[in-house]
Amino acid sequence: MFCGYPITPASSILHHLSKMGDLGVSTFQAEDEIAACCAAIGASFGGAIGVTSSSGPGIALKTEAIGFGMAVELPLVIVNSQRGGPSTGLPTKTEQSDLYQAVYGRNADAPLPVIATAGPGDCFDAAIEATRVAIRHMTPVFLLTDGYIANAAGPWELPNMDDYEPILSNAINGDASNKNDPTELKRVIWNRDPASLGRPWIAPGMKGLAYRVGGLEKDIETGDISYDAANHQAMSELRAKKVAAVAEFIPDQEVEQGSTKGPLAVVGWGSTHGAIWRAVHEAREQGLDVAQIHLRWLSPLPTNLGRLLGCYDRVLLPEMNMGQCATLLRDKLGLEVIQLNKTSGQPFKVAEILNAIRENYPGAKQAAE
Amino acid sequence: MNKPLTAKDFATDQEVRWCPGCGDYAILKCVQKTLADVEADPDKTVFVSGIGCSSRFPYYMNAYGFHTIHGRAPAFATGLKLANPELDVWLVTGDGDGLSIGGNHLLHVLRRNVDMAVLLFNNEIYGLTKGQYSPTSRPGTRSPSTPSGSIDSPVSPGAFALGANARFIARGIDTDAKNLSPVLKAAREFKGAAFVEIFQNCIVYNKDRFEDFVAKKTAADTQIHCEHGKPLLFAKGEKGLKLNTATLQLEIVDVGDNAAAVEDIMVHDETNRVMAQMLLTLPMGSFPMPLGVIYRAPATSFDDAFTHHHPTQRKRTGKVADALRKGSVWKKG
Repeated sequence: MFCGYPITPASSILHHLSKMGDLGVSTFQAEDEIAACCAAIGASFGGAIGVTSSSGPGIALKTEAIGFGMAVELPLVIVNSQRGGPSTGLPTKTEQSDLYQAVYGRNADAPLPVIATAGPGDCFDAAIEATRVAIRHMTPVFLLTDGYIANAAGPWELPNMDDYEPILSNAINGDASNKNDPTELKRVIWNRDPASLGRPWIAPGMKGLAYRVGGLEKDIETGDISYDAANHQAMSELRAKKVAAVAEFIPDQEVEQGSTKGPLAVVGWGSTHGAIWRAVHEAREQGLDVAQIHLRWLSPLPTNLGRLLGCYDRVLLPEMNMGQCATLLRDKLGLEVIQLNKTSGQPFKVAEILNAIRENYPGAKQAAE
Repeated sequence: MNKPLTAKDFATDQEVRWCPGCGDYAILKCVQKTLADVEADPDKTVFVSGIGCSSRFPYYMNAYGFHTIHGRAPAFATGLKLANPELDVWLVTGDGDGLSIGGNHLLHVLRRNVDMAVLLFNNEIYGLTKGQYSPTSRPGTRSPSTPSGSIDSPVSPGAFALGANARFIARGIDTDAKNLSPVLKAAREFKGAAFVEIFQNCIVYNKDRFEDFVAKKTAADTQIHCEHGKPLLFAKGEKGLKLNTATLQLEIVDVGDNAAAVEDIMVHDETNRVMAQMLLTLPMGSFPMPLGVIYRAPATSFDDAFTHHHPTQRKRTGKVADALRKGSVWKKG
């Protein structure tokens, strides 16, 4: 079930999905951003995958509810069509400046998986992967897009739907039939899959599985309210491990152009893909040994990414913000990158990236002479 | 044959953590007993709440329960009900949760007429956060945040609900299970948003706030129990409410040999919105407190309309693969 509230440039998702009823989609236009997110979580609690979308300021409003979704371990997909900010900012212009908000933006320690789509043709698959992770790991997942992608079109090779692995929720493990011991039932409800750390998706209406859950810290085994010190420590670690566990399920980072080591790699994420691809392609045609690496999962990062990026002398990172992904890589990998930041509300031009490649290519001055 | 359900069947193993003497205990007991009486199925019953003392309610009900975030419970409950319209959804909120931080969502769940029972525990105070005045506190309420008395005008929950176009509005008192239980049953049966204001005694921060009309000794004179089709009488039938056609206001009249005839007393019509408006806004103190089902005017519920207006009644009839091949599609090569 899709629950949204009108906002530029995310509204088109609500508009399109509202015409896809025959595919089993229901759409609900809520009274505000907060309600849209809460209704989507309510739907997920009820057993239907909840999806909500918005743009920067609307996402800020949803933030408390997203943290709640994480605390109660329910699946949810939040699509953020990023736009220029801060505040109301540039509603009709594009930017990639909500990465901090997606990765770090909640009260307390509240890590979430974050995936970014590289272009219009990638949205379909990215949305499927976001949903798969949300249901397998029982967590809200951020799907980042932006104004450029939201308003763009591109040729897209239609997939064969049979090629996709079905999205399955976690099995119920354990015996919950002993009515005399309510604790047994609770342990079954909170019996998380050891690999994904996702719990079984139990919804009202299911026989003999009635349970209560809320935003108060819960006992790691029974889900009962718990203010126990060691338990909160364990739950905080569980929430971190759950996001880390996603890395075991996602593919290794690949190099899109160029070799797996060398003088310079251009790393990008999101809608900069096209401009970076063209710039790297041209640089390579001009004889520069440049590689292109485009990130899809930003939280967690692919497990091989640190090792891979360590194989290049320099890493150039163009992004449409003041350096948010650069911060992320410094934080998670301890890696310093060369930043190419643009916040004009306009997408990158190929020439801008190509110039940056030339300027930052090791021995650039000598090469120019 | 299964043995009949009792209130105990709807209790959980969780220790109830309200202050001793809190009105919430009586409401909890009444809800548990009512659900047992109507043989509700715990597996199809869901209690959704926000934040506040009242909002701990779901933990104590042996049913599905969702203790959500401050003020937003109506939105969660709406999503839940739309996802599974078969569920019997109960929303538990308070005057702060429902009318302050969550006023917007309460407005919309009522005007949309989403099928659920909405129980608003009104104690005219923020209890959980230790006693600040709330949006229903009467002017002059002294509290930690208003040491010289509150200065803002309170909201009347019933009048708010009517203004929001709620189709079912009722009132009850926490410790008066005899009259509260039938109201809860009616709210559960109502197909749409059924708003129930429950006067709840916060024994610590706002003790006996409603004593004027709650006190058992004087209840006959201070309460008026609305019943559809029956004259609005109180004080053991010796007094009644009469419409003054000149002022368009209700007034109290004596009923008896040398006073007004019963025929002059207004007959309660629960479908009459104007009458509901008058009853819900009667000045406190000078009039008896109207209780029971004050307004009930059924209309299509949002969840029903949601399904019926859906192109395929929410069934999946199409295939994604086919949908993808509609529109601007061409062959490679």
